[in-house]
Amino acid sequence: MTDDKCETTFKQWLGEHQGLIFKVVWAYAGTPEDQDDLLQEILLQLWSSIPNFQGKAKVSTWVYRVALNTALVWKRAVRKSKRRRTPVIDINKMPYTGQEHTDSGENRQIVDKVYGAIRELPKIDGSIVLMCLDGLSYDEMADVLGISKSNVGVKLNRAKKQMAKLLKGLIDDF
Amino acid sequence: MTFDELQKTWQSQESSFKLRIDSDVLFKEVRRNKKHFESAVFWRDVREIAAGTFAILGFLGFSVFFFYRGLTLVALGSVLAALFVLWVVLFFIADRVVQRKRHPSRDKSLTACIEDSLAQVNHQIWLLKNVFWWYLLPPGIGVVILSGTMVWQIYAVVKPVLIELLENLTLVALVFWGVYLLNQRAVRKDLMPRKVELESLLNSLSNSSRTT
Repeated sequence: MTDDKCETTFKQWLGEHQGLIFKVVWAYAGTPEDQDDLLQEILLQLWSSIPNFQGKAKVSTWVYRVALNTALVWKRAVRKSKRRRTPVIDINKMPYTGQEHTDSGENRQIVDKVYGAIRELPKIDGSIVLMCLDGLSYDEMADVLGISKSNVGVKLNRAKKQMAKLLKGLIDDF
Repeated sequence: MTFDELQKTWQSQESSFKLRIDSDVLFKEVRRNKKHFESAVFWRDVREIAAGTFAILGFLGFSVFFFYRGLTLVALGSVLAALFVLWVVLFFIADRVVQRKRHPSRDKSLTACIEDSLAQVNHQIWLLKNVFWWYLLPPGIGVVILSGTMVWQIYAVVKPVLIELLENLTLVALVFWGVYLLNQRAVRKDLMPRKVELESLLNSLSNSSRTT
């Protein structure tokens, strides 16, 4: 694949699935520095993955897979020895905090609580909740994680119970 | 709030992401980071190989120097030392080539991705745990041979040769012991916790049947 084709594909994926990438970043990195670090690592891995994409999976599933895999095996950088990368965006000024945002403050609070709860879950369970909230099917989740559908079901049930405890009062029928 | 309502609220985040991200800016930054990463890896390899090559050339230079002064035994010792360092350089290159081919890809399933990362960490642990055998011992033997031939050439009597050799050996052993300890510290402080973290992730992917 030529560089131009990769560039076009990358920009297209970014345009269509950036929300998904940011959700993964928020769910797995707490501080602005870590978020910036993880975001750039995910984008780097996504760019490197383009030549391997054969169109067998949906693009959203592919992007999810790369983003989650990167986030789950991502190792927090040791800052003193790390070259400081220029932050391309101030991730904390993104959705739910900007003036252009149209959703209510209540929704923002709910989403913030959900992110908080996901961060408290074990990493794998958090990833399943994330995918479930984004409406991925059991097949897609199993594909991303590399486990069976029944295994996904078991994990999702367990994760939902934990989420219900963590979000007590917010969710009625998790 | 029901789960469906929460899902809708959650998915409504998407619309606001598209407002402010400039794909061009992000793309340029990704390309810049990729180039920086590739160049850092390239120069790290160049530095390591250059250091080894410099040592080999140094030993070969010594051998020529001693040979023309009629110290054939020392010259031979230098050649042997150069060969031992060459072994370390070749090991380095071979290991880098093999590991580059095995570089974990993030577009596989999560299980495969964690297994790849774990294999990489295990390999690094193996390398550092065995640093004595592949990195320290070969040049160590080279230095001992060179040093032995030199002191033999000077004294040609067993007792002072042994004393001198023992002094040199102690110095080399102290330096190598320090390098060895540094490597073992890296295994304990960085690599083992990483290994445990990845193993625990892998276990949590496979052990759902016992937890409901």
